Amino acid sequence: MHRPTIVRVCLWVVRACSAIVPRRARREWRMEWEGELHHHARAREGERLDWRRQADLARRTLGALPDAAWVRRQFTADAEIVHDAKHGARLLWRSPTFALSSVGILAVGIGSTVAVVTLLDTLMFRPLPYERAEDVMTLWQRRAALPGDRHDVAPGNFLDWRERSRSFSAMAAAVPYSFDYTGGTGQPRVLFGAQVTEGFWDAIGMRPAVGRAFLPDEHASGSRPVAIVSDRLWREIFGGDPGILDRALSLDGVPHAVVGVLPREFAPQLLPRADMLDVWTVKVVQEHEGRIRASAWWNVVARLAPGVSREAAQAELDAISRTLEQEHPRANAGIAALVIPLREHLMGDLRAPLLVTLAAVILVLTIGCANVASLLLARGVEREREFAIRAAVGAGRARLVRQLVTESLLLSATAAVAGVALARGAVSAIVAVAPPRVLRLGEAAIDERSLLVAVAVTMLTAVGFGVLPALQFSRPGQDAMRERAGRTPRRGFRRGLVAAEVALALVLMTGAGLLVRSFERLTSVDPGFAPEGVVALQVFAWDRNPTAPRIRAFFDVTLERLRALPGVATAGAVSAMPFASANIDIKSPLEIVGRASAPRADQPGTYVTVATPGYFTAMAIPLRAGRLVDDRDTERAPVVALVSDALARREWGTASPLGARLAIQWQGKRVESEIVGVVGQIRHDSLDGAARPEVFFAFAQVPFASMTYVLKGTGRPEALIEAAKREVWAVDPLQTFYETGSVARWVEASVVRQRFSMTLMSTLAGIALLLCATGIYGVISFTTVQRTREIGVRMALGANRGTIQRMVLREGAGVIALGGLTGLVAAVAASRSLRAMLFEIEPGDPLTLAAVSSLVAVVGLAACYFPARRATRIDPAIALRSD
Amino acid sequence: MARLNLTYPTALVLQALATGSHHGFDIMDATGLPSGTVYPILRRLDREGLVDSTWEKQATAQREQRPPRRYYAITRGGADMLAQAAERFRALDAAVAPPARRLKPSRA
Repeated sequence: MHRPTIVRVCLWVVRACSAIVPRRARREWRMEWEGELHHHARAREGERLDWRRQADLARRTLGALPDAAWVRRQFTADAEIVHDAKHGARLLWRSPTFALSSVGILAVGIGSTVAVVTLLDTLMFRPLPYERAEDVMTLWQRRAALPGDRHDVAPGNFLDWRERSRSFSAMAAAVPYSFDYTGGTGQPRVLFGAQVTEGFWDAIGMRPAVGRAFLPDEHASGSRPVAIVSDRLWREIFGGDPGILDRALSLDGVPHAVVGVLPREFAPQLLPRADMLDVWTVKVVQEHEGRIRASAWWNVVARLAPGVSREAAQAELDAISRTLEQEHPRANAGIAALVIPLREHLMGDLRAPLLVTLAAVILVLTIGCANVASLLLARGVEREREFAIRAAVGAGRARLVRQLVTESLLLSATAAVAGVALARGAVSAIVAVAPPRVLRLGEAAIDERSLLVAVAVTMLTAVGFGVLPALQFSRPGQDAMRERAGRTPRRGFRRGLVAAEVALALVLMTGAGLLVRSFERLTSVDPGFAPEGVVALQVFAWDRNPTAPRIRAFFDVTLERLRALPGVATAGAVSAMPFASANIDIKSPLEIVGRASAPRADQPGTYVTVATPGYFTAMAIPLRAGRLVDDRDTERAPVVALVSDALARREWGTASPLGARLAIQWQGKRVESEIVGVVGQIRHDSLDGAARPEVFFAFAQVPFASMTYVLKGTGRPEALIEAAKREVWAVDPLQTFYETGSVARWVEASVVRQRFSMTLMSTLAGIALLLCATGIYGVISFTTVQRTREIGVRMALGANRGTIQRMVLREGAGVIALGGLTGLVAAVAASRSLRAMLFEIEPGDPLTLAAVSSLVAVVGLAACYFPARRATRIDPAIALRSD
Repeated sequence: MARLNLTYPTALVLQALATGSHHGFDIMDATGLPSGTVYPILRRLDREGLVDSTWEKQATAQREQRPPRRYYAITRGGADMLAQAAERFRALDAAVAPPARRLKPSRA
């Protein structure tokens, strides 16, 4: 049957509209419309469908849209909500400035909250990829006298813990190890890895993704060398070939059979260079290792036995530690064990800063809510008429509150969409400034969990900023329609909100101020050397230099070549390189020859470092007394030593140590030496750590092959490092470099955690201050507009501009002062929670408080200044006519 | 019945039903109301039991080669409602003529 075009168009429109109709009613709805349309078109078949009839048909068809919408509304739970939302949307559309500013303010608050919650969630709650991960503990040594102390474990202690404890179903150690890999194409390189004792994979609860874990008999000495490789190395060297099993990987020149590939998500953050561990081999525990208690470098992982709590395990290890203290009073005095769940370990040092940041973003969100509430209140005055009329025609209070809350939800939902987009950016920005080696932070991403948080935060904020204003205006009949006099109770309420904003902003500014000052102090700490322009290359040169003369020859020749490099001013080498990730710390008991007292048990050890003369010049380490080591101090000359002034102070007080004789245990031998010089103390691990009490030997007299070349020169660090590598390879083409880098950058990297906290806090405090200024500006502008008439009268009666300006400023100053005083009290209290993150500065630091208070006051008054200036431009003649 | 607002267009639709218009488009013709108004009113009246709706016999529809039309009839409740409306809107009778005539609604 032929249908005229118009009928087909109309049928198509009906079908399109039917999409709106809920599925349940759709078939009948469509049938009804189609029946009528067909009938209508047919009834006129005899006649031609002229344009008039066609227009009529089209007009009728257009009714399908409102009809479909009506049907749909019957099915939506509460059609009035839809209506409220539409009404709200129309109103917002009509005041774009209000809408945009509120959405912007809320988006910043919601976005930053979602970002920080996502990061915390990643650290604290997301499941870990280990079997029954909550039972996995990491065990550490600590000095009982020092709170917060935490160290790697000495082999002897680990073996005793493992043997004597009953709280764990498995306990194993990982020992840092690195291998020279010369197999592939290209330059020889170092593969970082770990040797693990038996049961490591059970303890941590991880199985290789390909292949198997180590077998018990593979931990016996003399068994076939096997290795498990990381996902990264598998892809890099073996191209991700699943047939890798039992292929040989040459490590330190020994072929190892690859028995497994670890899953990509295996990242227990153990050992130095945790992110670069590519090769895992078996650790065969040597008999003599059971006696090593003074040096601690093993990482221990243990799995709680069923039904044993972390506390019970800790108590048992405490008891074992006390016994060990009695058995080994020299080495184990004051050494306790520390049980830390793997998850807590994985959070690293970031939990505290992130929790503080969470508190800060909640404050920012609160300020944002206060701001929007204040804007809503201002708008409410303009809408009094609307509410009065609605109340007059019968709208109940609940109805009006619902209208307002719906509008608030609309605002916060729009803000949430913008906020989530913002949060995505914020998460990547925060991860980018976070300490690089930290944890699982890199895994953080906005996902459905974050979205749930966003929804919750959105609802909360809508209630937070919407309900108070809603209750305010919906009070039936009260302020409605009445004459607007100057002072209304509402203004007091808004001023209270703004004062609260000032207080919160001050709390945040104080936190940021303290962190900035603390960071300043930290970075102005003298590490004891000048890192600028210095590059370092760490080598372990034992393999092809097994004897002392060979070691001397290798370093003499290579250093000679390095000094000859263009752009290099000085070159030297040292065993313990400050701020290197594998800093060598060899400790020894110190014996001062001729002094009666034996070393006290509680005396901290003395670090022994070997250096060439060039090290002190390249690092510009100051000489305090006597002389440095130099060419005189040859193999045949009497052994000399330098001491750091930290050690000199500790052992000799104000007296001069020059000429005194020291005896040090060095590689199992007693080495006696004469002190010929005192050098400045050096901080090795961090700027906020203590300087090392250190004894230096001349490399020529005490040769050592785990050394770091130190070059002071001009030009790009990378270029210098590459040139230096080529010179070393010219002497030994197989030599690998464990770590290379710019020393200045290493020092910088050591404060990245503090920089992180400071950056986050300052950003948030800046946002808070900005929001606060907006709030002050808003409330003062608004009250000034409300007082136009009053100001007009005053001016007509002869008040000059200065008087008016002062009057408006005084009002602002009152609000700021009230908020500021409250804020100061709160800031002093709140800043205590920062104590652990502060360096050499007290939480209630008066200078910081004074500085941030002045800043908040100045910004606040500046925000009042513009409305105040505007007030003076009021023309009395116009003002008096305005009402 | 309390839930239904007896608006003027609702009264017009009831009047049209009482005077012999039984299909959506016919009611539009009789009342002069647009389809977007007539249908929601019919559905509301149906929901409140003031009109009954049935579908045209399949055979009739097939003969005319189209889907069946929906047939609306006023119930007793609807008639009561219309009587109330008639008191409120005195000009109702004049506004809705029998199906043959079409008039624009005129407000009382």
